[in-house]
Amino acid sequence: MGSENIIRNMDDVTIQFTDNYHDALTTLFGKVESIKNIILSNAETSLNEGTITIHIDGDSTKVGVSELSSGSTFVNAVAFANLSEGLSRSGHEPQAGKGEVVVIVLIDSDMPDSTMARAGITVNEGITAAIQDLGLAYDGYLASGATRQDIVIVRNRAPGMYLRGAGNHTKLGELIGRSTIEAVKRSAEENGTSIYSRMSVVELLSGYGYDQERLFSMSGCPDYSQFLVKILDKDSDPTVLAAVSATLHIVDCIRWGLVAEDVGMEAGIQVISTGISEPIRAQDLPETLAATVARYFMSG
Amino acid sequence: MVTDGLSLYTLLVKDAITNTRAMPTWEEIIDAEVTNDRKEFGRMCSGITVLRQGRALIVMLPHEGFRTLSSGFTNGGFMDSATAVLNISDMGGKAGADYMAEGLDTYDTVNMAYAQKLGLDPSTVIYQTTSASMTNAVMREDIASGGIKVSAVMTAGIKHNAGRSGDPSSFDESEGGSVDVEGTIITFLAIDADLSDGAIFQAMLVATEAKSCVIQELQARSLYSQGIATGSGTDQVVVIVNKTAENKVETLERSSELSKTISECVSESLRTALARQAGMDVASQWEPLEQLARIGVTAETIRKEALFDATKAQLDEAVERLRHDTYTTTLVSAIINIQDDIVRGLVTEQEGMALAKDLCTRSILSDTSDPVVKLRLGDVASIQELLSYVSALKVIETVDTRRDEIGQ
Repeated sequence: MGSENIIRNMDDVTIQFTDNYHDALTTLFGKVESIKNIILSNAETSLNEGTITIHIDGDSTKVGVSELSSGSTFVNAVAFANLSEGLSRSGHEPQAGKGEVVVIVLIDSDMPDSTMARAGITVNEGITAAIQDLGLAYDGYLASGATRQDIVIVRNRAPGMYLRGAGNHTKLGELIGRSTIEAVKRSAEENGTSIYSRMSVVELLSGYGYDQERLFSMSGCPDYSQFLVKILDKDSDPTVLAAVSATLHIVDCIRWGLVAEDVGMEAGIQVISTGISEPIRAQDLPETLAATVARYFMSG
Repeated sequence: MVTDGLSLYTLLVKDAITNTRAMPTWEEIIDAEVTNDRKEFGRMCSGITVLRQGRALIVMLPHEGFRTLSSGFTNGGFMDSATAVLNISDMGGKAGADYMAEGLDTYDTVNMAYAQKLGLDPSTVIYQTTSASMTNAVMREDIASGGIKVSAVMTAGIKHNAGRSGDPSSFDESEGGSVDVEGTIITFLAIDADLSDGAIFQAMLVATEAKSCVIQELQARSLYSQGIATGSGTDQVVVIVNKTAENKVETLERSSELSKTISECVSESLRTALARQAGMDVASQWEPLEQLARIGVTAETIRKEALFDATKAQLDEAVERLRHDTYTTTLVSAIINIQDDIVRGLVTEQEGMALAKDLCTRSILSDTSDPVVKLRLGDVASIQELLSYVSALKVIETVDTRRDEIGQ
């Protein structure tokens, strides 16, 4: 892009700045002027003579990068995203585990501090959008972030372009949002979470408290290994997957107060009977869905 | 209308006069505004007083020990010892549009001129602007379990401007131009603690995430893509912290009680603010047309789908009935979720379409035995087409049901 190099080493990813024109706004150290390096590694987070080291609880080879440009606007997002655990939803208790998202956005333009702050807002919305795209949930809540989330926005003060807008309406904002979403998804995939890993009925239901063991206990199957064989056969059936996802969406809408529980239950029953099998009615929609899926696994 | 020669001449002259008449400039409008109406609106934590004056809401910072971070254009970034944070409603009209078109330098000048008019020192004021009315501002205070007080003042109206991160942009600043769209969420967040700069930035992002969650929970659509919105392109946040407070926060953990309190304070304020400014709440969002609009199905597309053999009054009554049909809205939303799953690659288009069609014929429509209906349902190529046609059939079905009820 400009005067920085992204170097993938054995144990870290280092972003090296070859001049003194780069400043960062970070959730870790606030504003840092004239940065020399940003390092993603297992080392402790620190700021030392212009080098920002950001600790990641994982393999630095699984860092995702997305470089986008339009005309003379260049944006590069570098992300580490482990979304396999430690998810969170705003205002709720987070999931246990060491989930984390670190996003560094390099913008090859000068801008005021306020624009770096607004870029942070756009990045945060991008992280939420990426997590929404993956449909990640825990304890019945759709996730909106990870337990640990750090963002670094880097500007380039070298003579050249000066931009003030970083919201979605501007080309810069669009590039920030898109590159964040791409980089987060790439790294999440490297860490085992992707839309492909989500193509599993058990995976979808486990976000709502119905994991494999619980489904087994609901299935009436006497033998766990037999149950697993059955799951293998039916877990990724696309019609059932779509029906489970649509029913869980109704569960969310009930939780959010958009639809009354009895009305949502009846609509959910219709989706279940159309896409999975005759529903086994239980006390609420999630239980009805899980009971029906558990029985569906054992059918045929 | 038939226009004779003389009348046409008169119209042209009138038009010319209208177009050449000097419109009041923004300077003249600010000069003419009456702003001697300052009154208290409420109190935030840390002894901060909130005032209403003219078109503005003024957050008066009572001493020099506050540090702020603003994402807004005028006097944004970090600032120590600001005297006030302003949220100003646009002046509207041609003068308002004109200065917005002149770019951000003029925008700064206008904001500072207005602060001066309000009797403030423009250089020590932080500015945000919005098309929302300050009458609809919402204020709230919460206390974290550790005792740290958090206050928010918000205005919100995103019905005409909501977007999703990564959506296509409207303009490229590097090529000039500006954007003037109505609808934005302005958040002033005060925390009665001494936060480090990193923690202040994190607090801004925690507030942002709370906002995105509320928008998702209202299933508010992006106007620039078919996704659920995450905010608007013009949303701004100002975080105000009290450097003289006893509580010090070096690192703001996202799972901390303080983060949870910030989330709750912003979420609850935003829900109320959206309802006040735009009438946007769970009831107004949970209508079929509101949900269908996200994938491009509108009253216009539905109208073109079929011959509506009914009077306007009958159609209006049917549409009104369907507006309140939360069961059908829920199924429509579930089918749009299938479309979302197709777009993000979770399910194939073929299987997703098949399930959507089955749901429409089994659960939304009562009777699909008409050969033309069968033929057309068999021909739809997308969920958008399917829901547009099925919506038309549902309106017809609702008219027929009503006719049966009243024995017509």
